[in-house]
Amino acid sequence: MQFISLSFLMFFLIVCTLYFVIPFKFQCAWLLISSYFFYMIVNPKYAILIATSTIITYLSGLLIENANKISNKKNATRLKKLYVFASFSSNLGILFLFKYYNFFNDTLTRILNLFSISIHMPAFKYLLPLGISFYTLQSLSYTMDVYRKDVAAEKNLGKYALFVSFFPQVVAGPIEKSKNMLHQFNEKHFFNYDRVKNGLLLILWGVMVKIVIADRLAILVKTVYTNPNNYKGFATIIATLFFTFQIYCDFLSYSNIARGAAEVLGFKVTNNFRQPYLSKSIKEFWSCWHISLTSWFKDYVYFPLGGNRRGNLITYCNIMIIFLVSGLWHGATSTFVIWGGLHGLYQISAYLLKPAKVKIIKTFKIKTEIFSFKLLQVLITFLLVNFAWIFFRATSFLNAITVIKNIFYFNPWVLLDGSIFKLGLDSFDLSVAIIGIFLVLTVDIMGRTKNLRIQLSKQNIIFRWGAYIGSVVAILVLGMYGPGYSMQQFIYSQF
Amino acid sequence: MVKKAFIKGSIFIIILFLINVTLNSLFVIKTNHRAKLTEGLYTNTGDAFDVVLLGSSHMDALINPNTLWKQYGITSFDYSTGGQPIDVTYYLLKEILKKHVNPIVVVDLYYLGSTDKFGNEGYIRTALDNIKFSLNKVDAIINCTPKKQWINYFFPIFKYHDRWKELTERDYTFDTSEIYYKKGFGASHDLYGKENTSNSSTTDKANLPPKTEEYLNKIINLSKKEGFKLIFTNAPHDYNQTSGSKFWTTEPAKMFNKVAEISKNNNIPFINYNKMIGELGFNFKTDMVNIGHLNINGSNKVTLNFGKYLIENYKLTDHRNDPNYANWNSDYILNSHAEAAIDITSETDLKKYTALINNKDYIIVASSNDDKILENTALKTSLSQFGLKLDSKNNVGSNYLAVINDNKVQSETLSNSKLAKTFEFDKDINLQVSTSSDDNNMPSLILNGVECLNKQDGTNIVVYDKLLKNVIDNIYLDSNNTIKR
Repeated sequence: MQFISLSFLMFFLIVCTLYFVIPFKFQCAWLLISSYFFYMIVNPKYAILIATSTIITYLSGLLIENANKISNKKNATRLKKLYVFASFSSNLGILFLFKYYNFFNDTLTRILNLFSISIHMPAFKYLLPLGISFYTLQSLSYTMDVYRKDVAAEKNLGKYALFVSFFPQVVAGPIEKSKNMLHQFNEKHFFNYDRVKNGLLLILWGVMVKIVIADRLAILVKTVYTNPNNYKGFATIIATLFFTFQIYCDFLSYSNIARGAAEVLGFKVTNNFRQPYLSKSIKEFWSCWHISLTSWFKDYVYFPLGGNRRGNLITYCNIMIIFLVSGLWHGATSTFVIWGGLHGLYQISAYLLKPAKVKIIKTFKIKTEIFSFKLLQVLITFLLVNFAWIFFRATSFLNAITVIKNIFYFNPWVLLDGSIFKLGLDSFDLSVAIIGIFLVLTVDIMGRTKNLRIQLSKQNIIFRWGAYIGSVVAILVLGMYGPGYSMQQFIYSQF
Repeated sequence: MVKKAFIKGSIFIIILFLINVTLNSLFVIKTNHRAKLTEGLYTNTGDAFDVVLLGSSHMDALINPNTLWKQYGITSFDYSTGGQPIDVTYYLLKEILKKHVNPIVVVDLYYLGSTDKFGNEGYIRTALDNIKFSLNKVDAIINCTPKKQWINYFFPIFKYHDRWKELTERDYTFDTSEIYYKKGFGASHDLYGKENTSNSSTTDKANLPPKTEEYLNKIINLSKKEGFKLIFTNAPHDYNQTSGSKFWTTEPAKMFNKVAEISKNNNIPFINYNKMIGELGFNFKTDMVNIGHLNINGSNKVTLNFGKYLIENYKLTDHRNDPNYANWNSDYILNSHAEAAIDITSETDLKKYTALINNKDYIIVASSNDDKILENTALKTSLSQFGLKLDSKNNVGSNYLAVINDNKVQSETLSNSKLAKTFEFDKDINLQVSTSSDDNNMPSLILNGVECLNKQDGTNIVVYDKLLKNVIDNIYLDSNNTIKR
């Protein structure tokens, strides 16, 4: 079920109404039924996989907790590690089979071919189950949290199953750690007008960003990136810039709808974004972009690998591992791996160049606490991120190279002779797209220092209601939906 | 808290609903079909119609309500819309019956031949998008459109929202009342020029497509239930109009024989005009505009025949001398003017043209900035019909300006320098005419603040109809004195 659909609107309305009407003891059961319904409506068969993942990690939690009771600490630790290993290997095995087997198969065959060794392994033909990358990490966080004693094992299978399958986040996150989320299912959530209103506002903003801005940008991006050989210079630059904002708006939209839906029901879900394109370094960018994923990798991969405590070389290796795995997590293609690798390189380079940077700043007495310097940092970071997105969006490595080559072609006349309006967006749509980008950036800038929902609630009723109704009208009139449009899937729901 | 949320939520939803209604009205494509349904269903519900006409575009040009009025004093209105499937006709009829009590209902059955499960979306929308929300509309959407599309019919903004970049003044100010005098009728003045290539003389019968037969029976049953009189027609058309179509019966002639049988069994008159070609004196070449539709000539023939049929078979009062129906007489005159305007705007011969515009209800403005105007004998001869002399007393100059009103010369000036004059004919008509406008030295005619000229160099003529209250034609002459628009 797509978040942006009338069927979801109806579903959500029914879920919320009943949720607040029924007694507390039935609320979780109702949410679990609703969540499985939401998940199964796309393909009921894949519910088996999420249920399997749920049961494995649920059992791992119980077994780890039981192992804690063993008096022999050595045996207990060995046993706990075995359970963690079993949970991780089985869950990641399923993920590997559905997401990476064909990629692995293909890569291995190519490598062996280089040595004139021919092998034939059968292809795996099942579609990627919805949200598998997200719920797998979420459920594994539970195994680790119980292992680390950050949470107690959940005895109630229903509540635990709800933690894994909670409908606002099951398809594309945010990936919640059990220590942040699980306890919320034991709390009583009553109807609260302000909370519900705030949640709905977040949903409204999410819907607007998706169908007015992201899906509009997607049209121009698709035109150029589907046939990168046909476009050069500013057309390619604009498409790349647009993709930078498309993916942000798209994922921001999903996350906001997920957060808003959860908030309406009384749950606090991690905010996945904190003005990422205003970051002054790649390191800062990753603390503001897809926060729940970054946090997961940091907690459950980077720190266990030693983090930055084992010397520079190991730190750099760990950083690179994290980003390569992160790239691979997004998709089983070389372009995602390169995208991840580029971000790893950016960060390692930043560490390596730091002494030189400090020396230059000192030598030339460059003021670093002034607006122009910070702006330069933001722009450089943005350009680096932007460059890496080329690999994320390109349909193949060769296409990415073509895009990069074509960027270096000077044709400013396309901005003036009308060619720019032949990339799928006419002058009206292009204007809306650009205004939309500025709107999102403005909200980001304002959101750095203030909670905009609180600020809005302080305004007079005419302004507030004008904003609400104006948003709905903007969605109705300017949205890319309805007959003649194919609704764009959320990009991250495909991972 | 829940009460507060409920109240605020309800207010918000009501506001959204009202905005949605406004947006729907703004974004729906403004067609003559919208105008006629608005006028016939909502604006003139106090105007009682003796006869209501329904069907597809075949009916649109079949029976002319103004002719029925002029010849027989019968009031009628044409609710047909292009491509209207028979199931849509059924629900539209139910909606009409809510507003008009017990009229004689005439349905053209051309669309019985459709074998498509659902009609063409564009054609369905032509009717349904222009009907206000009602139970009949809900029924129509549910029964006449694919389930996946229901939501887009209930909320037309979902379909049309992309028009935001093409909205024009017309979308904001669409005035349906301007065409009420047409009573929903619309026929071309063009000629088909071809013979009928199909044979309609067969006596064999063929079954109707199941869905259209179902709705034919529904219409029949509705007439029995509601007690209104029903007449079916089949407009003259070449049955080869639909030959080769995957979504049409292959044997329309035989199907209409079956319709005749069904009608007879139900005591409902079925007038198959395709079998009355001789009786009507109908000539496909001159009475049709194309393979399927009558032109104004054909319509006149059928309407006269149909009116005669009505007065012979039904007790209908002649309203022509009833003061309560005075507006029908004035509407008839307006319609005559509108029909005359069609002939005027298609004429390219100067001599014939000047004869057509010689009417006391027109204001004619002729202007020129061409110094050869005095040498243009054909033009001078044509304009002399109106009493214009092209300033023979002082026949020098290249700027010429003449205004004719009530068949009288109001003003005529020839000068070497730019001419600019303002005329006030009554409080509604303000003309500012110039032989050389300020911006690009072209002739200019500003009517009530709006420029009306094509701004072509040379001689321009503008014809304003005082009854229709608009400029009906705007021409200029090329070097051969051929009329260009």
